[in-house]
Amino acid sequence: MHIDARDLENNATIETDICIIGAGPAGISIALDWIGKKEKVVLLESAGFDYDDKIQDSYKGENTGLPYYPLKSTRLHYFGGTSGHWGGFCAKLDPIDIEKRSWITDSGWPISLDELEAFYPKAHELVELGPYQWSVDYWLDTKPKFKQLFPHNDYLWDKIWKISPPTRFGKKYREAIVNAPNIQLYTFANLTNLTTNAEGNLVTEAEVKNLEGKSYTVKAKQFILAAGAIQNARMLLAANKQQPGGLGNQNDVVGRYFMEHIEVRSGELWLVEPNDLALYMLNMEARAEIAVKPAMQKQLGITNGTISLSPLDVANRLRAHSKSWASDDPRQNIAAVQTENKNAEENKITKRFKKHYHIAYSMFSRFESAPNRDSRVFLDTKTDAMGTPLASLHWALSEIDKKSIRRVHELIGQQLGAAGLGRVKVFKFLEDPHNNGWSEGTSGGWHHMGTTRMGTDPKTSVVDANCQVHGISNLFCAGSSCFPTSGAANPTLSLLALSLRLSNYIKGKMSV
Amino acid sequence: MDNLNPHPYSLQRRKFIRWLAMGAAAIGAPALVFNYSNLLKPDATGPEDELIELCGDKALFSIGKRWTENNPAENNLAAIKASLLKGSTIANYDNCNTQQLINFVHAKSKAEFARMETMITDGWVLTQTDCRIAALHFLNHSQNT
Repeated sequence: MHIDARDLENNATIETDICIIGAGPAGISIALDWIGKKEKVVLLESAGFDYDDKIQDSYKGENTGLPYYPLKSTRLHYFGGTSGHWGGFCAKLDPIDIEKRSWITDSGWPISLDELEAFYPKAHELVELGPYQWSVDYWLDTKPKFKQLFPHNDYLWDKIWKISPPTRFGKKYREAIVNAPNIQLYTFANLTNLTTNAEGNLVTEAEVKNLEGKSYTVKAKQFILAAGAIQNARMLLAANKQQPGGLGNQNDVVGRYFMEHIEVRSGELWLVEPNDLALYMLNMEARAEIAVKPAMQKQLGITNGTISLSPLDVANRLRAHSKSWASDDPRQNIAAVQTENKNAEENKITKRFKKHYHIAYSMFSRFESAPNRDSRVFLDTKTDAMGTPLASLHWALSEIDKKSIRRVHELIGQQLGAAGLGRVKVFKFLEDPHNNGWSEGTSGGWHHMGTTRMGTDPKTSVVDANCQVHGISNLFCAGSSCFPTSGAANPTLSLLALSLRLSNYIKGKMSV
Repeated sequence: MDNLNPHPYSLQRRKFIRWLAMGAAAIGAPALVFNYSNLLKPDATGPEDELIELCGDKALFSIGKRWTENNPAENNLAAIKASLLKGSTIANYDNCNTQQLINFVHAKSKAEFARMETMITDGWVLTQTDCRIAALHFLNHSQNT
């Protein structure tokens, strides 16, 4: 059922079993998982079914750290969330992403990859990724044109990425949600506060407002914050009427350890002989990116990351994401990026006559950023139209991040040279090992992670292994805000798997 | 009587298209052959050819210059050639089988890559052998000018 919260009577109270705050991919996937159950689920969405610039204004914020995109434009706040403009690139986390790595401070998840693995197939289905095939061998067999650049290499491997249509959750799952008898979707419902019992260990109600000035209350047995990494932290920090630091923030961890994928053009790969490198080129199904094997990551003391390749001529015609994505308005940014991508495309006929087209490739780094306590989301003094403080971001990287990108380029250069295939050139900002600065073109992948990270120790984490906020038995966080480390893979697929795991846990808890 | 030839220019047009197609084939076919073959590729003249292709003449010149500056003992052709031939059965750099020389130097560089003995110079991930090849290129070029 769909209810426009603007039509509710002021000060109305809604009672439900489960209240999910945020109708993006995480919130929708959990709601879908409860369809047909006897429990009543309320799904709160801050806007309606379409982009609303006034609502989007609530997500403005200052960037005080490394240069970053305007915060208002990095997420979409309407039914379907940021899947409304995502690119659809998906990959799974690697086993090393989950492990405790002695060379990376605060690494390690409190769960095994197997525990997440169980939910990947369902997540895979939600984003319409076709056959559940992630091994390079499958794709080499299926696509005769696909050939590996470094077959049987001791240090490098080809990580498969798959491409979603991309699934727009708002369109794809609207009907299922709206028609589900036990799901109530409330649009134009903005969370402004969470109230707990006197002991502070149980959330009793959520205060919800809209731009029309109406307030109402949701009472639920379980509350799930599923509003994205910045907003999950913002809501916990802003729920500070009873606990001055906000909920779950006794150890000043909420909002900290914010992570983004470091995405930057970083080098060139030049081949001795022409090779179309079809396995690595952008296509509609699956492609590979070059990654470093775990043992070598350990030996080099580096983070995980992948290198994607594209024709150098095409890459040279594209501006850095940080330049194209400069407006507060996400619609303008997406249009700018689409136009630039289209203009950069190579003519199918003339490319055959270009001497370097199949010789020279651009190397694009897509790396995890190591957990960094100083990289954080915090509350601004300014508030939105409903009186909730805005969220600001201080994005910070670590020395190991830069070192890792540099070392991976060296390693690829070494393997390319050893195979007699060609040479690698790194960009200026990577040349000097003592320079920790970043190039102007360094940006993120629009992937917000961390801020309510999972862990067993409340001093370094916000939620436990079941995504339950430490010390509050019925408050959960869903999505990539729970990631303790980001891995190199885009987060959507894994955040869906983790959300489905959370949903399953709550089913167990409620004996469903 | 019906007009049997409603388009009086069609024959000429057909002829024109035919000639155009033949012309395109006459020019395009050899261009394609040359593009996809090595017919226009000159014979290799030395171990530096491959690096000139990959890094470009200007970059290789700069890398070579830097190598000679940082390694004064190798700031002359004889020393560079001797270093490049170290470990080889080739007695004389200037008077040997070119292909044999190229194979040796390339194998030497590949072995250094495999041992991860590399450096980043002018942005390029190169081996010492690569840098010496660049130095050779630089010194040869300097001598000629």
